[in-house]
Amino acid sequence: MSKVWTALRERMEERTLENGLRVCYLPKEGFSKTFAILATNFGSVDASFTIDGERHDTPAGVAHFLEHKMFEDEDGNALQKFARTGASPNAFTSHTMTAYHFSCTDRFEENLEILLKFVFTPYFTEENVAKERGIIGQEIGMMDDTPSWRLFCGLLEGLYRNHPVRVPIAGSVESIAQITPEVLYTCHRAFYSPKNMALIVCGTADFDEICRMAAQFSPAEAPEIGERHYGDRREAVNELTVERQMAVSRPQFLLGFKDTPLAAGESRLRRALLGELAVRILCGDTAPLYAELYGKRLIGRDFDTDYMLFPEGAAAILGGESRDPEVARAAIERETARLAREGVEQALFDRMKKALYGLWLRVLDVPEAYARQQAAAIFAGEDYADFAALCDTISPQDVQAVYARWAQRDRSSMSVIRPQ
Amino acid sequence: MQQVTRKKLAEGVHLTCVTTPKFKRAVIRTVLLLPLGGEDSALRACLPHVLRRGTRALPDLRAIGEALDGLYGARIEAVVRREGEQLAVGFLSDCIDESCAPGADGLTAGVIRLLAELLYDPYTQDGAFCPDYTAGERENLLDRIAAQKNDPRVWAPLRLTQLMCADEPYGQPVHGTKEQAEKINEKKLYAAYQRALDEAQLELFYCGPLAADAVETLFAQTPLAQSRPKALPLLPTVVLPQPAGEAREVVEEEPVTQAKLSLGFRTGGASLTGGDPAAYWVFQTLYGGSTSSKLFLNVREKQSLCYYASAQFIAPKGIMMVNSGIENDKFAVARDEILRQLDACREGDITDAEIDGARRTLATNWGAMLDDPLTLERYWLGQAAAGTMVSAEERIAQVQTVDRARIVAAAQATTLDLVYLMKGAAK
Repeated sequence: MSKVWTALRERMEERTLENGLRVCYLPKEGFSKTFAILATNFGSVDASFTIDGERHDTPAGVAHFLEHKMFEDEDGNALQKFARTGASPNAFTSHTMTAYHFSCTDRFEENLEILLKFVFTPYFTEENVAKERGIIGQEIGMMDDTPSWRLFCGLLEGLYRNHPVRVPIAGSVESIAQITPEVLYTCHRAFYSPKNMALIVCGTADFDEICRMAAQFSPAEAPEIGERHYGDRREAVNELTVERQMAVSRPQFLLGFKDTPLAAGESRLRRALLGELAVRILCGDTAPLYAELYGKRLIGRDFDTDYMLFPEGAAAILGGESRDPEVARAAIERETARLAREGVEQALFDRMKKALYGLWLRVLDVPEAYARQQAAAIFAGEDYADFAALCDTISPQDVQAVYARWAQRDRSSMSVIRPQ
Repeated sequence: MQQVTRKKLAEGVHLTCVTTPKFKRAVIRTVLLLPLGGEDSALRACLPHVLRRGTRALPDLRAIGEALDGLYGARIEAVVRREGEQLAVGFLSDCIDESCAPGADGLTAGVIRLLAELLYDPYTQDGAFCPDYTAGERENLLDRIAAQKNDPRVWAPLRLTQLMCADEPYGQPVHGTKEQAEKINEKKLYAAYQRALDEAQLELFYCGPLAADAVETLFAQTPLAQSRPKALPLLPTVVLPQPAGEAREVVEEEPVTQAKLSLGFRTGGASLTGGDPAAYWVFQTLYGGSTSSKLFLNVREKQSLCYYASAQFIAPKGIMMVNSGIENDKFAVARDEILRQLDACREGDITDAEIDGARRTLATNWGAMLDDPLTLERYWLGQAAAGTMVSAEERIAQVQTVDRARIVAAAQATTLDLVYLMKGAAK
């Protein structure tokens, strides 16, 4: 299937292979490099699942551990195979996705073959799993010393009582000690089924050749995807405040508003736009409240806003350094209540929507970001470039309804890191 | 194909233009290049942040925010950066190209006008900067100086540079010192602003779909293209000779769980403008610049000593750094292994596959840069600050001809200057 967005000067080719693997090509005329990402709809939140009638509750950090181990094959490490072609490979595990990618300026087909082969070929031994524990243990140690990461983890603990999103993506030194080759094989079988995955190529390539290779190097059989369990849900936050002390020079805070999860049939892309627009109008770096709080030194240029979506959850996030996080929080919550009551002024809404369009448009120029966004969109049955049309469907009333949800009692939690 | 042009618009004003139809956005930069270090350091680091607070026409953040939203979410950030031997202060903007949205005609001109206003037409009170903005940004600067240690991964290499280049302008803190920052007031800052406007070279940059002459016309309609007859010439790159005697070792304790180990080396002459930089890039890449490098394979994969261990060639200054995160008790093992891999390079223990892989990695990295206007901005400012003008395509061609003998020579010219260990002392 081909799709064209004339106003955006973008087009796309998309096909679902017989085994269910979705393949998508986003041409980028004139670009030197081509970026390919093979993603599975499996992240750190998918730790409990049922497959073949048996329930598995896996140790924290298993999706991320699997990501590290996939690079290893019986005939060597995929990183070294990429090194010979000069491609630049990497991978990441988020709460909702594990993805393997490379970018290259030549020998694209050779690189694609390496990528497809290593991701679809699990090879785990007691010995190579034990070795990886050491490396991941160091990675966990590094993240434990990173204030921004600890702040984010604290917020998720504050917002959720049971949801697995509150567990750090890489797990802990203790939890990864329980990971065995068997656990890794089970997860690979449950979630690295072609049906649960997507291949996105952004740059310059031959779409038919991509599809031919994807069919050749992915398994013909696609096992049924495991059913996932995310725990009990509740509307109120878990804790109003989560505090930690670290070696930082000033207090840092993240304030989160717990939002309702996506409803059945609701567009994920539209919700992402709506959530981002709402949080930017509330206190994005061009919003009136931002100017006020900045003037009082309650926030600084590092202050940032975000809106995150994951299975059975959604949240708006705002924060940065502050001389007084409590006062900043009170001001932001007051503004949320006011916007819920009074709605958004039309002129402010119009200019913020214009800016949002500009921000999302710029992603199209960044192959890594565009392909990643497209992978997330595909898993929800959508295409990223439809954002422009969806943007037009958002009204000030829609945004007001969002604030009404955020302004309810017990919907916000704040994570704070204070200097030792 | 990208067209890169560089033109002197007036005395002390240069415009570098990268024109390509492939982007839907544009990156525009306006910075003053000044000498690093000295009495004005903190004032200069504070300057763009105060200028970013308001202009005569848009006197506060709210008004600037409204203008940026109207320009389809254009971003303008204050820049305070070390560029080789110079300090760059000013603004960096990225915005969509006007062809990509309905009713966005004149967007690029609007952004350039706003950049010009921010630099040349600030909001003032009684012939100086606004006391309120100055006081706020003085405190923000003090916070930034104090915050440098927050992220150990950022702090360790920075600290290494300060220790290693303590006697050179390059080692002086980019944000100035706490003592300097505490003395900032609106009058001193305004005087420093006028000195900076007088003495600096102005470096303009545009990357996007517009042709160079069209961009030049847009700049020419603003004060940015005015002649700057008192501008000082740029300082040349100084690569210090080999340090005498044993390498220094500095250990400091910080309340973190993971130790950080950083090693600083002198290249023996290789820099953007001196020695044999092409050979040095190939050497640094196969030593520690990729996931197939000697450091990655041996220090991380074989010995599981760390999650990361990588080498960087800081070409604008002619130094190389190796950074890694380790357990406290692995200090000696990790340091020795890092140096052992360097010895292997010096002894020519390098395979053809490693050389080929390094060349390809460099070609991919530089090739990929051509797709990223923000990286191109950095690249071309680095060239401008060093007074050279070599494109990424030329760099790629240069490394293709580098042979084993030149790589070994680069490794042999490299000497260890300083070992810095930031020891984890968390309870």
